[in-house]
Amino acid sequence: MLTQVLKTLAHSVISLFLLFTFVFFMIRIMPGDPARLLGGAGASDYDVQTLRESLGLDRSVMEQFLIFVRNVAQGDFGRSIQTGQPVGAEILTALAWSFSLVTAAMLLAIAFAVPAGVVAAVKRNRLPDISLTSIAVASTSLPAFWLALILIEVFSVNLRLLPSGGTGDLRNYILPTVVLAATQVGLITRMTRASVVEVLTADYVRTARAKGVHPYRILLRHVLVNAAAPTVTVVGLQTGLVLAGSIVTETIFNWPGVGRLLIRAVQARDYPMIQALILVFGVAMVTFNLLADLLNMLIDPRLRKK
Amino acid sequence: MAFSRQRLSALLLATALLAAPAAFAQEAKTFRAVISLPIQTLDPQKSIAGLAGDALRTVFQTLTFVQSDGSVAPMLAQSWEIDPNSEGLQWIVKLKPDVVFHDGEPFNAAAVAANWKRLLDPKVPIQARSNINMITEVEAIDDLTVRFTTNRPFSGFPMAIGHAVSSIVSPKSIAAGLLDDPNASPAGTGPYRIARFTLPDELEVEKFDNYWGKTGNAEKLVFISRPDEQARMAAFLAGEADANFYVGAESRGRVEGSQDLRTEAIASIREFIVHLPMKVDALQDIRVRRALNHAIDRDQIVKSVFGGVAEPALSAIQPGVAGYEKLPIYTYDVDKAAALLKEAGWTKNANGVLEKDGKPFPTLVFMSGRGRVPNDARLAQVTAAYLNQIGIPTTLQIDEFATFYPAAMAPDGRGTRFVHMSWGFGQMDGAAFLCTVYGEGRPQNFGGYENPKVGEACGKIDNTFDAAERARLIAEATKMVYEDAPAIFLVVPSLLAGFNSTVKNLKLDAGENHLLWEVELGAN
Repeated sequence: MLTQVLKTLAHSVISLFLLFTFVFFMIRIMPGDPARLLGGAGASDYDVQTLRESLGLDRSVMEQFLIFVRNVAQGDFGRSIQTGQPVGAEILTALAWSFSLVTAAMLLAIAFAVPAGVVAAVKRNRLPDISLTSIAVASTSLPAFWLALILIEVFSVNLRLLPSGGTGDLRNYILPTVVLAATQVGLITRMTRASVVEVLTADYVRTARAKGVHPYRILLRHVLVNAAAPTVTVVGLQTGLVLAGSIVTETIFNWPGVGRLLIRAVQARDYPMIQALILVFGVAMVTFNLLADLLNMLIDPRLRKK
Repeated sequence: MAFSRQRLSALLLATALLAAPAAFAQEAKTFRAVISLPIQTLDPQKSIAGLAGDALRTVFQTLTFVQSDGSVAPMLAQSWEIDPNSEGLQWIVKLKPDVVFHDGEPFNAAAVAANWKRLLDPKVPIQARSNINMITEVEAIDDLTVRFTTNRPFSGFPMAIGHAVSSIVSPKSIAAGLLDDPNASPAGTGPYRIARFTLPDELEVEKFDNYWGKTGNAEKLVFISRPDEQARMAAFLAGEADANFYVGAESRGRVEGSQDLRTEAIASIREFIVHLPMKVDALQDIRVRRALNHAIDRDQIVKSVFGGVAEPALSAIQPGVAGYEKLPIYTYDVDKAAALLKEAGWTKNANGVLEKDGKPFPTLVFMSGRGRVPNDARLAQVTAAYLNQIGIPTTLQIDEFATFYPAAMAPDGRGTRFVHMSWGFGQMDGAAFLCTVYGEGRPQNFGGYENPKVGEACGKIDNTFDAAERARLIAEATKMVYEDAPAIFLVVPSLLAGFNSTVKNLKLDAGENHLLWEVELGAN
């Protein structure tokens, strides 16, 4: 198991380096000059050149790359072109906000989707299955911005029960958590339902039933454990994706997470920030995949022996 | 009896709890505003003007203050005058006495000189340095007198030292590096001092007891950044903010329909124009350029694109600045446009495209940015459609602003395409707009307009130190450019702010230097 983990880690390091190299050169091919944007509309050529020099953008791209690799190896991601602050510190703060929101959203999604998927599978093709699957699909199909605006209109503007955005206290978590969870419920429900249906038709489940084992015991001891692996994998993958991709939710609720940070960085061509964020997203994806694999190994002894 | 006492206690407690927030709100007098820009820094010298700069103006002040009508008022300076023996190169500025920074340091000539040492240091990246880069030396003559030296006669000096980039910070804060630390509280001389800052979302400032001037009654001002328009409106409608800078045209009805809310508008310092491609033969004919200006229905654009929250552009420069005058020359008149084109030899062919001597009008690229200013892309589409209507074929190319702007700025292709741009100059000086946007060889002159008279006029303006005469010269040169039509002058968007009924006495400013420190909060 340890060898497998080390192998995965080694592959991940190579993937991350390739990803980061690719992104470094791609963002420099993108049209747009950060110094020109930072200088504003009235800046003279001299001002722009001075800014370019102060940001190190007057050096060759290869030189910039080597400097960046050296600095990253020392844990220095540079300073944001927009704010002048160390990129690492800004990302860590944003990451903490995103992580707390995503954790809350995924827990909420799991709390609804897993039981819903199991019930839908057990009562498949009957009313509970049709209703729960429909709710799950509907919640995923609703565009996040639309759902967010409706929730804000009802709970913030009309009822004045919850804040419309920002990060004041725990109440600020409620609306963005619901919106983010809604986007995940459909996939997790469907995945859980499909896995449970598959296991329910397996020979060992039929045998257990034939032996007269109580249906709840069959469900808990045989079905859920064996059906967990695909759901765990999906949750792991989705957590990584949501962490990097909750741009709409973070923008509408003014949540100071990494998604919002990325969109602002791209608009301002904030190279150091974009590079570091992409690297962080890559690390997040790898970490959540790895965690999902480890969890699957813990759940399924067959995977440990492979 | 015991039961009644319990009930009474519970009732009192409940009343106290319910009344507490209201009582607190009344006592603390906090003014909350949602603003459309992120607050990227606490360094006023690095903050690009606009709303974030406006929030910082409650903390950091400038030597002068340019008012909404373009006139210059004293702020930290008591007076300023050109040294008559300096050939127009030196200004003597007398400072206001008895002013202190929030950290207790005295405001004096040495403090001004220390700030300018930083501002003139090329190693410090100051984005808006072009507004002050004609100043080369600043020295303290005595405790309250400063001498500024410029590299050329520059009559716009009083406005330049009123630009946000020229904000004065406590030398102690500069020396301690507080301007670069988002967790620190750098000190200014303003009516409020920094209480709390969450980069880039929230800035809270609290009243400074030793402030030298007058303020409103708000003890605290809180600026909450909500760049998304709908999110900003939701916070305003939900009662989380007393003011909304700014309300979109679509939301105007909703605000005005509420009994407790109102909107106020002011024409901004921004003007949308289309730089005409002056290297294209057809557009070297002034009749064609004027025809294009007559072919645009500005009133309809104001109504349909801006929902009424804009004004037709009636000058070659922004309103509200020194030298601005309304010149309603280019009325919407399709017949006149067609007549001018005919006079120039252009008539429509069977395909509806203009033709001269059997040759069709060349199809030109119409470039525009998207997303920097509300409605920019929509305006570009509508304007291109008007051009197509009179027979000028265009290929519309709308890009994200970060892509558009460097492309428009690039010397290759300059003067060969229509470039749609909204210009606004924070120093509130008409000469800045005129000489930057229409000045020969300037990077912002996207149409490649070459008129030596503009350069001459700009030189003359820089050498004229009498404010009234200077304004007259700007107006005269602006009229010359307007009549020469190197651009299609489109519209001036308005700034539409929303307020709840507690907000009194908040004066809006065309240059977004709203007088936030004068706000009075009353009862609902």
